[in-house]
Amino acid sequence: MLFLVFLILMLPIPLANSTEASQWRQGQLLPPQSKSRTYYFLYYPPMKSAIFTFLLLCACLYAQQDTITMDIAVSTDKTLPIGVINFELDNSNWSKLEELPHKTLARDFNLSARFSAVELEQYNLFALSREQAKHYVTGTLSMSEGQVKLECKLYAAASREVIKGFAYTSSVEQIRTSLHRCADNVVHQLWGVQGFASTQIAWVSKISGKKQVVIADYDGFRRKQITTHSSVNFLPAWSPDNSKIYFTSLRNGKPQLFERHLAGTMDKLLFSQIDQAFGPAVNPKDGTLLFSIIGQSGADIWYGNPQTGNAARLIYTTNIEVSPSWSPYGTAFLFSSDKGGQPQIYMALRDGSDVQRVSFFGKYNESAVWSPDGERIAYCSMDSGKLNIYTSGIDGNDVQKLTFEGNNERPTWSPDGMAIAFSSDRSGSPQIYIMRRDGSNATRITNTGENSSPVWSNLTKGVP
Amino acid sequence: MKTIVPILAVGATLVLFACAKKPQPVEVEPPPPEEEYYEPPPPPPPRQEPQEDPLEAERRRLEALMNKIMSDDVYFEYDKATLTSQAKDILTEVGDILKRETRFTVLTEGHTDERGTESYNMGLGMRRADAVVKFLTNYGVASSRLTKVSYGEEQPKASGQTEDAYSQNRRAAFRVRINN
Repeated sequence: MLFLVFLILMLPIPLANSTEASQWRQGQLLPPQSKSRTYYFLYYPPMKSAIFTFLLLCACLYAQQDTITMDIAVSTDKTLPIGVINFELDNSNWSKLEELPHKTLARDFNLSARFSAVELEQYNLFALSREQAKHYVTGTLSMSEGQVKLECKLYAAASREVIKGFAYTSSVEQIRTSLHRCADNVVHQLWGVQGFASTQIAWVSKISGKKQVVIADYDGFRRKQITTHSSVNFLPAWSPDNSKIYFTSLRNGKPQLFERHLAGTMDKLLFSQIDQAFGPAVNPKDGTLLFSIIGQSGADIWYGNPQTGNAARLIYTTNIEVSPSWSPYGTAFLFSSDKGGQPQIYMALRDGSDVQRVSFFGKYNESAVWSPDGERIAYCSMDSGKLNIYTSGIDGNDVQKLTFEGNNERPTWSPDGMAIAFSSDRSGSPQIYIMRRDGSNATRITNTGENSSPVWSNLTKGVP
Repeated sequence: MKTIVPILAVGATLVLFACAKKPQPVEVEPPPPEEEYYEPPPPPPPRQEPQEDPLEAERRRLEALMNKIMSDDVYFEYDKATLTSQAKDILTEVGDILKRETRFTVLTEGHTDERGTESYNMGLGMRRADAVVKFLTNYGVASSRLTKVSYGEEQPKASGQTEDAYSQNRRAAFRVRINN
């Protein structure tokens, strides 16, 4: 049955796959462009809507059968298979190692949305060939005088030639950082772009019953609590250079914006001239903010400079205007307004002019975020009481539903636009997940407590 | 009963006439602590009495009114900020108190249930607080005495994902202060 479903799901993927595969073989390792969106369910003529419903059902059934962390949705983007062969560890005491290096690396590859890891205990050409992996990675871990040396090599699968080798020296605690850098180096070597394995995600975690802002490696490991005030701290955002976190806090009995240098311990109140403000969005180019203020009867969008403390209103009506999100160029922004009765997504130029409606399907569309390449938006939409993540073109067309189970909220793009992190209560409690931009391979990165509102950090300059 | 009376009498006689002697049967035990209760209460300091009592009564009266207002949560329908007739009844009572007690200032908090997004709910909370404040202003309470705040879905009264919990969380609540 499942195999049948799988076959049907694969059908609409065009023949482009074979050309992509041959490109890979020829070494033209360009990221496959996913121009061919196959599931525009809102556009299907009635005849095909039945087919879609069937597919949807299949996808749901499929998802339900999964174990805790993985959600196999419809995959339209192709990934590049890559072998990950167990690393050799020397005879040192590795008890402090929380995870074997190849496990960390394999997860990085799977989360990258560019690779699928083919995990092998040792080199096996048949297995690599069967999975169409043209490359593999393996390496060694050795310790001397408390310093760990990680050697990591990228090989051609068939010839076993080393394509590139990477070596890192660090403390035991920093091995994960080295492995993430290794994963990014492999992404750069084979895709020519900067991966996100070395990035971080900020989110809101309930600690002792209070919402606190935390940051962690993008894979959920090495979490660090940022806010400590025992009130509600939520809706975080990164500064462009990742040195600061902006967030909202109710510590003074009302929502206000705060700034926190990650190197420091003090929270600085921003825009004290504004009575109530929340939900900051950072301009990726100049670090200025858009945020919502609570006005007389709803919420308005304001612009503010955290350096000078100046702020001015941009979108102000008697309705609710929230969730601003800058374009990657900092020249325009998305926001939600319920001037039509329920929240819909709109776009405006930087100065608040030229407001255009973006979302037309669904009654409740909110939390839109602009993809890093500027091509698409991700947002959440409520249907039959549940929130789900969707993407669409920036004109609102070409809608794709990416999640199908539980409530799925607060999408945030990976810096390269290949993946989307979000929070979902599909496991029973809200947790953070990462999926590919086509909705496939949803992987949970937090396990306990309640975690929500993820925000991905920005890429820092330069290849690792 | 008939036997107890003589015994009591005997006991009392013994206590009266032979208290220097050894104590007699256990039956007779006039509970000693009770005697303390019979003592007259210590006389209150007379000079404060005429001033404190009305003040204290007034304080108690105001406190009761404040508690009344603060316990008067106004509930809303899902994703709505319109006042139900029930809400209007409550607000009329609150408005009556506020018109009488002109020193009261009121902060109206707008809350939502957890459905929907955090950001939109911040706005919805304010819309609810605003509906309440508008009603009170129209009812004749000076707007300078009415402030509002939105807590969105961040401060639920009831936890859980049930309609019962949701309906308790979709509310406007009051905090009252006395201005001197």
